Amino acid sequence: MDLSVDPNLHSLINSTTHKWIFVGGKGGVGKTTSSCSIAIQMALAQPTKQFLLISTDPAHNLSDAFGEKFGKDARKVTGMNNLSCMEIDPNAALKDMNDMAVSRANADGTNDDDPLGGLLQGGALAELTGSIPGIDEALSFMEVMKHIKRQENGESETFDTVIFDTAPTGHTLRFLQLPNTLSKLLEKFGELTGKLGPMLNMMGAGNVDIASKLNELKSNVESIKQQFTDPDLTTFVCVCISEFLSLYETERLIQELISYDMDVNSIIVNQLLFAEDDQEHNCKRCQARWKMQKKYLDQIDELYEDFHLVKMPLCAGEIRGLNNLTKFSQFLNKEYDPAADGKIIYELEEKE
Amino acid sequence: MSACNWVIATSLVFVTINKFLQYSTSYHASWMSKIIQHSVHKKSYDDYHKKLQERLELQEENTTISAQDNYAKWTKNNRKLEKLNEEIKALGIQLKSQQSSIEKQMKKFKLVTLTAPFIILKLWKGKFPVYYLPHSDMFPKIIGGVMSQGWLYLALLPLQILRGSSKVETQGEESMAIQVSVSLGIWLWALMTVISTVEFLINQLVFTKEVKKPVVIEEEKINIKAPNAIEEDKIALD
Repeated sequence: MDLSVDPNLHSLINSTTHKWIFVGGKGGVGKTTSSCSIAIQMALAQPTKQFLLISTDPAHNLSDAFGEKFGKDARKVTGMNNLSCMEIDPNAALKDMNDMAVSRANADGTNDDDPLGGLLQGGALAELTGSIPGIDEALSFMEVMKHIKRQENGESETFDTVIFDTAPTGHTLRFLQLPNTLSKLLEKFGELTGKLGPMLNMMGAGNVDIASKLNELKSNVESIKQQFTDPDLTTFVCVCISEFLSLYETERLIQELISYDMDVNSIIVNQLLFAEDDQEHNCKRCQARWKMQKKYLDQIDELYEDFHLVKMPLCAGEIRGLNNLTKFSQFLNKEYDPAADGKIIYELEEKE
Repeated sequence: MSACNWVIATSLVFVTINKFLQYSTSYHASWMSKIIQHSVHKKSYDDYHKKLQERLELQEENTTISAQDNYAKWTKNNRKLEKLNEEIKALGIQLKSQQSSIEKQMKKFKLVTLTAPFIILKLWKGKFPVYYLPHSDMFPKIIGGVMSQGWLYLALLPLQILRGSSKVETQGEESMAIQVSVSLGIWLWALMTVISTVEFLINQLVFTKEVKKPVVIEEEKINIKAPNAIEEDKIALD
């Protein structure tokens, strides 16, 4: 019986069960290119389904990768009718929250002389909360909760699969820890409100039933926690380059994800030179670097033998725009063959 | 005479054991670990030490190999180390709880076999006359009363004065000779006080290091002169 794992993401690209796909790794290894490639390949393989690519990285790159502007609301990629993109903007989201608080204060009849109202008018809430560590991750998490709720309510513009182009490792791990942290926090809050709930409701909480709001939030968080740890629904694709520090961080990421009970079984190794098959442009430097990359590739093969190890080539130009991304992304579905596919890496269009 | 012998002998045994336990306090932890090593928890103890040894070997191996050149080996070792650390932590907690349960059992054992019987003996045979003073008028009446009755006599003295019946317990009234006894309680108290004093003296004379008299070195006066210091608070006038 052959237990070897395919060196491509064919099974993931054609998966009909996955709802959440995270793509992450060290900074500068090609996370955005890889997540765009996965999203494009999935959208092409399953044309009847809707896909959403969300960037949770505060330094967004999706707009640059596709060569068109995306915002905080999902917008379809030009040329694809089943792939949308959005970039979560923490500042805009916080501004919205601030505006909501202002309008609520105005609706309650608070006048402009009210010091709190005045503070909110100046966007103080947004400024204050914007400086809280981990707020980007929290907002991304809120976005996830919003989507789950929309899907549950059967509202328009629902997506079958959401692909996350995540921030570098540290941020992503914080993001993925949020369901657990929130769950524990809400449990404590639940205990408190059980004792002090009626009193809290009496003390200026107005018509808002704190206990029921908390219970609702708790059930949402639990639902996300459950979905994130279900290997049929959620998976994590690690992206790295064949260098020590990148591999070291990937290993750390994988171990952490395993400790969160998250499914992780795919690694994309980017920027490989395949110098020996490149007879036309085979410089000494490429040879030396390829030798170093091969050394680490052997180690990766030994360490992650039960993973889908996808070896992607370093292209001659920047992989920007839908056409270039589509050309490049085919090697996720069917592994790159340096001898046969070598010329494709020189065929990428130059984007202005 | 035989009754006298066993009461005093038992008291002396208790005192000796108590003192022995007091002097050997610093060794109790190592005795405890030896007990655990040879107790029913021997397996987890051996396992803990085996894992510690294994961790040390892995750490040594990881320091000798290059992470860059042997990345797979190095990472596998790190995975093993992480797993071992968790196992060691869990075993450590388990052993600690086992040790505290053994300590609790030992404390209970000491209470049942030593502390409680000694207290019972002191309460039961507290007024037991260890010996009699040669003359009844050797000490004032009150001291004689404390000696034969114990410290309780002093506490009850005001009551006895009020009742007008302050008298010293005497033994052997048939002989008509009033004898003052030294009770077991007082005798034990005196014995313990003597032992403590002897302990203190030996400790001070033998075990405490002599503190040498400090030698006073005369401080040299250092005069630091700033380059542009004003030597005298006077302004020279032409």
